[in-house]
Amino acid sequence: MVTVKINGKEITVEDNTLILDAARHAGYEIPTFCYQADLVGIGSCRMCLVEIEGQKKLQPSCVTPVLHGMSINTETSTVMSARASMLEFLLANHALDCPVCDKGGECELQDMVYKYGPHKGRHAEPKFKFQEKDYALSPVIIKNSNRCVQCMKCVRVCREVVGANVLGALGRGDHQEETSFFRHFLDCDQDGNCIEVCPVGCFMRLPYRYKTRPWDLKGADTVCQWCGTGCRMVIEERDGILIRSKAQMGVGLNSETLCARGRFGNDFMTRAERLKTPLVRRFGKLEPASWQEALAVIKENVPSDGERIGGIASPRLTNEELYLFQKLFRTIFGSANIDSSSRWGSDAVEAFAKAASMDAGGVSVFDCMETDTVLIIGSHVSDENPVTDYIIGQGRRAPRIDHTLP
Amino acid sequence: MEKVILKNLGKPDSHKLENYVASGGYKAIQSALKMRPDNIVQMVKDSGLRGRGGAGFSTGLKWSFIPKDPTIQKYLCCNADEGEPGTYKDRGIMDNDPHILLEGMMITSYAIGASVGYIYIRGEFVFGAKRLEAAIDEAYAKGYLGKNIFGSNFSLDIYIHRGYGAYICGEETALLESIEGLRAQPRKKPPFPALAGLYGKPTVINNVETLACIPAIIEKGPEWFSKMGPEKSPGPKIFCVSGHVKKPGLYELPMGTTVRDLIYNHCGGMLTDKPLKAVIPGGVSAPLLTARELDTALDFDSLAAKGSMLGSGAVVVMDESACMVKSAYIINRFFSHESCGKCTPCRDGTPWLTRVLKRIEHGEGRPGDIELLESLCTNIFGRTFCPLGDGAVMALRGHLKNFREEFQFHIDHKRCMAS
Ligand SMILES: Cc1cc2nc3c(=O)[nH]c(=O)nc-3n(C[C@H](O)[C@H](O)[C@H](O)COP(=O)(O)O)c2cc1C
Ligand code: SF4
Ligand code: SF4
Ligand code: SF4
Ligand code: SF4
Ligand code: FES
Repeated sequence: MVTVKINGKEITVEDNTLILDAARHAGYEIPTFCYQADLVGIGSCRMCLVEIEGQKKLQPSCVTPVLHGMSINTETSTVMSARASMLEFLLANHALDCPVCDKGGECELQDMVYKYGPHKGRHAEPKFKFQEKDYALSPVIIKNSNRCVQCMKCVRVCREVVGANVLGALGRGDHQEETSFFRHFLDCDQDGNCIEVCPVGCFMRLPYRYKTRPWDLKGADTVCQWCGTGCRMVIEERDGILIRSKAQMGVGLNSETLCARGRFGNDFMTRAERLKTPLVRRFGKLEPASWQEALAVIKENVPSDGERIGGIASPRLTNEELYLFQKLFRTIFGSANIDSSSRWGSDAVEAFAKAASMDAGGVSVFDCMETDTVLIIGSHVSDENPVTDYIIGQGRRAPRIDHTLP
Repeated sequence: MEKVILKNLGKPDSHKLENYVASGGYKAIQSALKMRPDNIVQMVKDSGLRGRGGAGFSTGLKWSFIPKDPTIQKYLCCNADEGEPGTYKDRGIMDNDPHILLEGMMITSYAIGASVGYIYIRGEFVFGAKRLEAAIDEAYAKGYLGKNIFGSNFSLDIYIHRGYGAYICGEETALLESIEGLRAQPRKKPPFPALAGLYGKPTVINNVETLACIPAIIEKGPEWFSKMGPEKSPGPKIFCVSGHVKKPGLYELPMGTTVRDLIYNHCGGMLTDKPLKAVIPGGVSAPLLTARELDTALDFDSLAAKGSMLGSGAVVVMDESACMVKSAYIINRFFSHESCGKCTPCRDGTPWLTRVLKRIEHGEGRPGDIELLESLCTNIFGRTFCPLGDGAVMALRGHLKNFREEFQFHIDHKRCMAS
């Protein structure tokens, strides 16, 4: 533990705590662009500069750990003017086309300029423009480089968290552009985590484009229902129509990530093709019907002999649903012909549960990553549970991971 | 003065191994191989040699930070990127006497326990790269490189890595990134390269001229070296003189030679009878000196005391015909063009400076521009990730401090005062 003074207030924190975290802990906000807890710090945006007594230069608090006895100031006039000047630099080449920018209203640059200034611009020179028109990087990702603050979070999340490594930077200096390989279409799963981490309107969702303003959305905290990873997310609607789903930094095991299904796959709710009623085949054609009608048809057609009917349950059903499913077959239809596409026999499941102490509740995927070797059996995690795959991937550098495909 | 680094310059076929050996070359490495590595580090420390790449850090001290554990892989990287405008000393060495660099690298590698050395050479130096390649081949053929060099149990491989043409590649950690195949952008320090450098292993990065000093230190002893020039920054130094002098070129002189001595006694004086106006003493990031400061000694500390720096030793001499606004503009344009883009103040600040300077230079200056430049300098200086952005500010401040009235004249009269 080390004790430091922040703006005169003494606090004690763990060794190696970043000044940024220590200050936040002590109740002082420090603005950041390039810092993100789950990414390797790069200390490049210089928004988070603070004063350390005895040091000539301001220091980036997002990559500087506290040392015992340090006296740190985060709100002196020098620090405040450095903050304002970084924002002034960022705005020098910025498109500043907020009225037509999808990020407007939830833009970190807008918020920071509002809070820390400068409220008057001095840059009266021609700006450098990357391109005239936004360009699509995939069917769901669209890019406008003229609004970039060069925090590299898009590139870093893609490399460090998703593990796809399909983003990088072209050019140098103020021509540096974070994008795909020569702006070609992305060869990745289109999970859009680059969009989620982008603090400004550079990486944007194509399906959301120009649909609404964030302040017109109503959100609800929920859990993604596409797979067993169970990512936490917020779904947002406007006038009863689902507009987007997004992750929240630090919430759920997925934190700021979602996979393509979680982020872009929930539009099925409002698709015309979505089934909303049962369908009954009449004269060779499937037609919408009420539940009463449908149940009547089933009743009529169920054979009285239980041997002649069987049921296959999805392996994705919850225990409760599975219970009801077998109950329906056993007690109503009088049939014991129940199966599931789950690939393991009950003996195997039992043996595995015992071996892995799962009857004691199992372990979390994070605990799992603490071990030396991880065995993945009977699953194609990267396809089926992408966010679990990110978590495994982040541990991939240290432990050994063995995949055994069925 | 008897030349140390450039002793073979101008001799026929000076780049060939046999001629290097005939001039007494490759003796120092053989003596070194009989010494204990830490004794060599101590000798270099005692010599007082300070890095010739720009920062002037004690070379022996830098080597001493390398962990002694023999099981850890270590690397030596020679910084031959030579990107500072006006600087061409490393090129002079590599084109004409590649073996002095190789010998310096051999001794250094032995001293720090590195079994692999890289020469990161500026992409445009095609000729130098070829010369080095030929020299390396000759050395391998003789058993001077490779397994068990000179019959000792020390082995060393040296590779050439050609750069891709950015000034930032010369910054030592960006150089490491570039060798690793990544974009050349500086790394966060700590960890310092001595602990985690190339591929995360302990690494020494030294400039070509620094390494070329090593054989002579082994041969003639640290005392001989430390007696040359000022006590705190001793040794021979190559000055790359360009601009309005009669005989521009490479001059190897003792550290601490004054600007006046260099220009008037060695370079044959000013080019025409136009008087001297300003001298950039150490590459374009070094704030300039005026005609009143010609007695300043060219060494690390004397120049620092004048608010300037020795940098790479590129001396740019300008007479009264030179426009200081234009000079500031061209230098600043270089820095903003070469900014790597990593940090905000340099990436977005230096191009802003360039835009304002360009307007002033082209007769479109506005009242308040000088104050704007000064304020932007304050907002950049000391807040950048690496020294490139600071260098841009130091250069501009040097011009503004000494020639403010020229900038004002440009703004007021929409034309140049000097020409
Ligand atoms: C922007 C920038 C460019 C640099 N370019 C060079 C260069 O071209 N050659 C060089 O030797 N050092 C260059 N340096 C200095 C190196 O970072 C490093 O200090 C030097 O190579 C260390 O060698 P030395 O101790 O032998 O001087 C540069 C530094 C900066 C910040
Ligand atoms: S990124 Fe932010 S500041 Fe920039 S145009 Fe969009 S909303 Fe405005
Ligand atoms: S595109 Fe967005 S996330 Fe990527 S560097 Fe620019 S501002 Fe940062
Ligand atoms: S991994 Fe994808 S599908 Fe699974 S819960 Fe998370 S967002 Fe949903
Ligand atoms: S000061 Fe910043 S932008 Fe400039 S070269 Fe260094 S790291 Fe890159
Ligand atoms: S948040 Fe610290 S430098 Fe970007």
